[in-house]
Amino acid sequence: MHEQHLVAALIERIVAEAQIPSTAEREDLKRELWTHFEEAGASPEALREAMRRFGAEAAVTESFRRVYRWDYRVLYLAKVSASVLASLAAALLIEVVVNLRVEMHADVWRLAPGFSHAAPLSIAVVLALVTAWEVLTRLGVRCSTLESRPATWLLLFAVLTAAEYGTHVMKSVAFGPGRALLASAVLVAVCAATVLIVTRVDDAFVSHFA
Amino acid sequence: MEYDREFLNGAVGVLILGLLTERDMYGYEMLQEAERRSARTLQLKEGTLYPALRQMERAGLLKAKWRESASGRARKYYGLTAKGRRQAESKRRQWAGIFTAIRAILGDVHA
Repeated sequence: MHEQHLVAALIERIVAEAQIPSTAEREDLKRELWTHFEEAGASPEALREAMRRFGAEAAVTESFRRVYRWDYRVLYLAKVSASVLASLAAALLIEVVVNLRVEMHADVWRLAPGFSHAAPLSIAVVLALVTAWEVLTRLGVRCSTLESRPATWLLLFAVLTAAEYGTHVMKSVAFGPGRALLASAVLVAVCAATVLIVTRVDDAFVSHFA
Repeated sequence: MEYDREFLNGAVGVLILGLLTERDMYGYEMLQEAERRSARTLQLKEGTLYPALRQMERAGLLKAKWRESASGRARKYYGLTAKGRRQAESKRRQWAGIFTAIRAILGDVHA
């Protein structure tokens, strides 16, 4: 029956938009709302009247969101923290791998002097990227498509190379084009790792509420 | 008579506590009972009731359990916890005091 489909769709939408973190609670709410409409009657007219009496969908959804808002906020904070920590770990690992040097005569490993400049820059890039990601996602921009846009990455690589080279020339620091290419390649790798991690964490977060 | 929606929404919690003081009920039953007792004066939006029930359950005022009714249909019944009973009594006294004060200010229109 057409009205039953409308009721089912209404329940699905309300529960999906209510930001309820627990699957069990979502299923429980669906079941309860469904029994509510069953109580209201089986005829198309009764179901239409029950939907009318139920109230505005947006207002009902908002009321449910208010009930679960603290659970949602805690999970959201955990999501952002996980994104930041994992991305920082990946960025530092990349920097360590790139800057690790072995001194053959002493048989010791050490980090190149450039690490102390590169690591804070990578940390800043990660923090800026995660912040921009969260802000843009809240504004409705789909950042996850970045993963499959090689042209964007190439452009970023070119811009970073020019910035690296230009900055060092302006400061009169010896920094050839080869080093600028390598430094920007590392930064692009840091950005790619961050985007990869944040996308995965975001997917896990969204699927938790689905 | 049309009532201020905000006024009614604010009273939903009190109405739920009042209704459940006597016995356990399920959502639709609460709506019907509120309508019957108020001679159809109070017609709550169903969409207001269910979030309020969830909120009160999470606050520890209500406990809920799925039970099969005599008709064989499973329904989610709500009942008051000890905290809910204390809250119901406290709210009842508060509302009685407010009601008396408002009547004193407005005067008894039927007098």
